Amino acid sequence: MENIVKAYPHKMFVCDEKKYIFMGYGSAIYELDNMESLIVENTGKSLEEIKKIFEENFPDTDSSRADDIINELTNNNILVNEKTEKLYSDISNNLSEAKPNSVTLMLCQECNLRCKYCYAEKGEYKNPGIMPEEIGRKAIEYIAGLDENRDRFDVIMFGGEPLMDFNKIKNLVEYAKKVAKEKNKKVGFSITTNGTLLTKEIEEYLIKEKFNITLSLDGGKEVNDKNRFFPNGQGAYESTIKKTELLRKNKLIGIRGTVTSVGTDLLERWNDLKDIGVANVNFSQSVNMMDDADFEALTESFKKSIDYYCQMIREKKTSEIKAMGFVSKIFDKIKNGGIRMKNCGAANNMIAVDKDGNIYPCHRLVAQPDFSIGDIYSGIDVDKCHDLEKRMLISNYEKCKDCWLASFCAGGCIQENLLMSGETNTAYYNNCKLMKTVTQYAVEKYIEMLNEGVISA
Amino acid sequence: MKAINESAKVNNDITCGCTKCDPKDVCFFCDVRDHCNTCDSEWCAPFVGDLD
Repeated sequence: MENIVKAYPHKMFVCDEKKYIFMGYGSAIYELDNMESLIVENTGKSLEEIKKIFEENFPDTDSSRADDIINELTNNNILVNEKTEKLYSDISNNLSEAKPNSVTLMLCQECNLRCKYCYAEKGEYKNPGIMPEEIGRKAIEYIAGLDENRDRFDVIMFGGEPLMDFNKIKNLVEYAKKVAKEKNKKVGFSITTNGTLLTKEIEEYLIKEKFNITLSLDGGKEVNDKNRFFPNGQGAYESTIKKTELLRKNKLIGIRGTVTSVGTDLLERWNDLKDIGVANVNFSQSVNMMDDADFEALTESFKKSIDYYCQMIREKKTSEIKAMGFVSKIFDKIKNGGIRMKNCGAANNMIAVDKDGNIYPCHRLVAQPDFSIGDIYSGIDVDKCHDLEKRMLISNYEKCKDCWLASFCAGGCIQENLLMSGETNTAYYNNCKLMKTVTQYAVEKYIEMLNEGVISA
Repeated sequence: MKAINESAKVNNDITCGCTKCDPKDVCFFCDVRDHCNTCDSEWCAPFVGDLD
């Protein structure tokens, strides 16, 4: 049997006249010389053929050099080898113990806004109502007691709009602190809100209790109010801004903007948001409210945002760079790399509990009864949890497992996949195209900055 | 060959963990789910941290 030399999924590209390889599992980036790249380009052939091609291309080089390069490529997990096969297999087979440490409480499955793109349909998740306090307490007890080896758990106040019942938030925070003390653990609190029900008292409370605060706001008034409004049709922008003065003054807010066809220009949105007093701005596309042309426009907008971000790096405008989360997250991943087999920690390290006490992998799947993985009384169904985890593994995404961005993207959000492709493990083609184009552009810009000495490897 | 990023420096075989992230960061992977403590399979050591 012929000794075929195989490479792991990758992409080769040229930047500043040098050759680079980006590895699909691990997201490692290497600069390759001509000899190394020749061997990678000829993988899929037998060892003998590759050595022959090497000798033809580099007749003045000792042929043993080809063996050395193949060894080096193997040691760096560019070429398929037993050790790495075992590593990937172990990671894939190492399912969680179904002991998450963070719970998203769907406190109010109701909302005072009527945002057009709401995946929860008026915030109700097809099951409107307010979570009884007893359910919230039970969920906190459950998450706090799941894993005695962990010294922290997190409680996320979510909706709908969680501030429709501020008193319950206060009561549950006190209860979580009591439970944490009893268990000798730390507890962290987060909230995602539209901000329109905040008062100075609530702002001060959130600051006092060190909440991580995510504010839903899409950009400036014009863009925001096209999708985010009250039931009477009045836009929510002015109310959101007016009610968040103290939090914004202290730069305690992370913005989560939703992108739809009403405005795909991210830089315009960024310019409208950057000076209102925010710690971080991130955008997420509402996939079912954008067509192919919108995705094309969004891709171009990302490229312009990346150019702007690189310019900010060159000008050492650190505070702006830090707040521009929708670009910095891409560069974080490029700088670090790493093997990642799942897109997120749904069911693995986080769960959502709906108002009736049912447990879901995440808040986005709450309206999907098929995705319930238990309830707070009987706990997580470990088999269901593992079944979902297996489905989330990139190695089980038939169209993604050989992609050069396999680990970088990990197949995308399973709820978005379900919505747009009908299956959790089939990536939505527009997300896929966007991810590939934007990431390659960012990698090239990253390398340019490295070569200029603007940043270090 | 020359390593260009952290993963390459350790032969392309690091697995992602999350022990160092700033809890105030909004986590991309969690969408609106706040910070990386909620999904430990993700990435840390932000790029921007090196620019201070």
